[in-house]
Amino acid sequence: MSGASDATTRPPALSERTVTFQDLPDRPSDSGDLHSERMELSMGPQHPATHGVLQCKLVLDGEKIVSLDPVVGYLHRGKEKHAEAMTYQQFFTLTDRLDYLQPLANEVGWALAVEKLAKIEVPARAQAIRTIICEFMRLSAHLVWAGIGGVDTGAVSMFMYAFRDREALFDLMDELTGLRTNQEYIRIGGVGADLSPELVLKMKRWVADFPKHVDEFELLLTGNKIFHDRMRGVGTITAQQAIDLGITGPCLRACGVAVDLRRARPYLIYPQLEFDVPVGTRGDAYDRYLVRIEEMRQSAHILEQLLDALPAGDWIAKDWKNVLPPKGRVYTSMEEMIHQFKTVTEWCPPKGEVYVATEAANGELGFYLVSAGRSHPYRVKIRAPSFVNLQALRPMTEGGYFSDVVAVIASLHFIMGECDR
Amino acid sequence: MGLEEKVPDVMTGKLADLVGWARKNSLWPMPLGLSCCAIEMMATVGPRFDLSRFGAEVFRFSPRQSDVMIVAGTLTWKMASVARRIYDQMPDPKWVIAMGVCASSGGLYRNYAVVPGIDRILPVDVYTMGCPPRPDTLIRAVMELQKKIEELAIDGRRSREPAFVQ
Amino acid sequence: MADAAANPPSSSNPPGVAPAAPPAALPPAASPPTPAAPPPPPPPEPWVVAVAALGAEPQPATQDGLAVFRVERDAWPSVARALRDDAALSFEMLLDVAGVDFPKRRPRFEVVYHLWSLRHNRVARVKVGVPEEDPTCPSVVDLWGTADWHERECFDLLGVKFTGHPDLRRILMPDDYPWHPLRKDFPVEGIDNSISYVRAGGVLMTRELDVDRPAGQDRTPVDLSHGDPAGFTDKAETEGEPPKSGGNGHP
Repeated sequence: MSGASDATTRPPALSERTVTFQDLPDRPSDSGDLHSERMELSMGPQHPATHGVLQCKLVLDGEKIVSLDPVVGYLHRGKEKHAEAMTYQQFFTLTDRLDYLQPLANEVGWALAVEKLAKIEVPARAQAIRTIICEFMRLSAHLVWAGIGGVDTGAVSMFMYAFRDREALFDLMDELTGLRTNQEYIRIGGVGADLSPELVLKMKRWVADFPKHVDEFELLLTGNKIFHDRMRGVGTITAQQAIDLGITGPCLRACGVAVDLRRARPYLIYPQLEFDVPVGTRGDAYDRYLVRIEEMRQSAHILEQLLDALPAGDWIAKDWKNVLPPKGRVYTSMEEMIHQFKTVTEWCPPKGEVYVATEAANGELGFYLVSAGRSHPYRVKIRAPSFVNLQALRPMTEGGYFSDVVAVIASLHFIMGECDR
Repeated sequence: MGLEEKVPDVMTGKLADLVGWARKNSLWPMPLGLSCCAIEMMATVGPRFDLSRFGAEVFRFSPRQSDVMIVAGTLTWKMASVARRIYDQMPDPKWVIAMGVCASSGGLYRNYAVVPGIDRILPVDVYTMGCPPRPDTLIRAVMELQKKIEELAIDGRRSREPAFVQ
Repeated sequence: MADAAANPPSSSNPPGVAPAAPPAALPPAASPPTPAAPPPPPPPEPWVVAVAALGAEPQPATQDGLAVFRVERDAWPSVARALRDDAALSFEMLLDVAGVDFPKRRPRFEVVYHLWSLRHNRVARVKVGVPEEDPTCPSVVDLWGTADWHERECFDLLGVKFTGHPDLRRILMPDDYPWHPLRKDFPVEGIDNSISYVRAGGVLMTRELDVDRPAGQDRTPVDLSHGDPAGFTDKAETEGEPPKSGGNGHP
């Protein structure tokens, strides 16, 4: 990279043409008659490019970052404390708002934790619907990442393309659940409503078209020299550093570590599905971008398989001692009404504790749930991937240029709702 | 502004109309995007809902260059001093839209960390409901705000009565 | 549910109550059938034995089937190092550090570590007890860099100090916040919530106390133990008390 004299006349490859700060001669702070000082800069918490309310306290030496201290907690909404005052079913409202780009995926994580604790069997169709939902949510999160990543690096039209697709996805969610986002559709024991055949057809049509749209995104960004120069070699982290920092998800896979919870600690019906796990090589921002783009394609492939082979059956477990009965029955049958009453007010899982993790769009989303056998959880600890991944911001940016901070933040893609809980 | 004292009332009325029309159709929002509502706010600017039809396309993240602060998301006590400082930095005339239930009343968070409604620290002109409100609701809120702006007197006197949008 | 199917509720019975079964003929006097002996528990895996040999006490597994260990606070640094470096154990990644508050237990706090071995693809849970009188726990930042923020959060929300942590300060709450919110004796609504804002020179537009709510409701701490004097023990279960209805526990 240093451009040292090389006897061959071969021009350096595209990736090697980027000049890094190491190529520039080192300038001491006080050089001759030019006095320069370090500058302290607070970037955020209100900032267009910090992906939410993150404050970066920077110490700059000219354009070089001497130190970066991320300050989080500006969106700490006390969910873990609030969980101790809510029932298990009520907590779905708070899980939605963790990573708010993929609300139902967080709900699935919570439902899996509670069902493991209470040993509730979920029927096959409900598991399949949940898997469909998880993949749609992964697409939803990656679409926002793509759009906002484009905006942060200057490609504003990417935002429009990504949100066009997201609006179509929201239409499907609207038809299924009644809401565009923060849907609260997952229930303990299954899902809230069935997937009708017409909706399955609409979903199939959208999924069939989606890979062409990913091609459009790649046309805009992947071969774009400006985007490439902004992202290649920026925010590099080694696999060893990533594992040490506890990073999971696309950021870990971009470093070359082929770990995906859908394969390593499978849940729902992922073992029956065929998909690839994209893995990068260099651990820089560009690889993180490529990994996510390929994940979008793989999600579309997973959805194709699921929508073609949706098992018939119940969409919620018919275990009325543990699961809310269907509302139609509740209003007409006394027995179901009593079950509903008891489940809502008095349902208590057994004592115990579980740790259940799913592969969210940002990494491993884990719920550590401690139950004292009461109607409210005793302790809920949410292992938020964004909270852990954000620790990588410091090694990725310190020693680099200030103008790369935005590109690093865009490629790391943390969501403050999840980070601060 | 001593102009309105020198000029006959009918001309001031016309001038106020003109200024009101210009102001309401070129609102420059300052998005205080805090959490989930920020994503719906982005969707409002997105291709389907397109807030720029109302002249409010230019999302200036700098408070010095903006007219209306859209507080989209949950305000926590840690963030409150930042939000207030940003509001203070905005030049007059300025308005505030509370987007979503978290900004309007604290939303579903009644706990130690969340400000129960931004009207604890800021004067609010339009409250919207929803968690998050649909982009249509935000557009409706902007339209209600436009009605309020038309009523703004040329010397800055205005009604502090907030509007509520569902 | 079987009785509902076999005996559809008739108008004479209150719904949900199965009609009384007719008395069955008594079987001839015989010794009651002995229940089949439960299958013996499977032998612990070699790696669990290896961890136990380090000084970690295996705990019974819970519903998720993960191996659980309890480690004494003083032994934790050396056990942690062995967990990470030993080739047979190889827990390269620290997933999570959670603090749990059991106010009626001694020690009061429990710091729960979840470790993931990528090489062997296993997850283990390790619990370290931290007493209230001396709420310190050795930090594992030098072993797993990710512990940095996890331990800061545990300190912030629960007040457990981690010795050896390079920069132990609050992370989620404001720096000058005086309480530890996740403790069981801290109310969900909080105490003097606007304290940091007001100290930063902020302006409150309305009075901090709502005029249309009773004065006590804003400030009185709420007892989250649901009136259970026994706290988190087995007493309630063994004495056959029905679970208390938590209801819609909106504070």
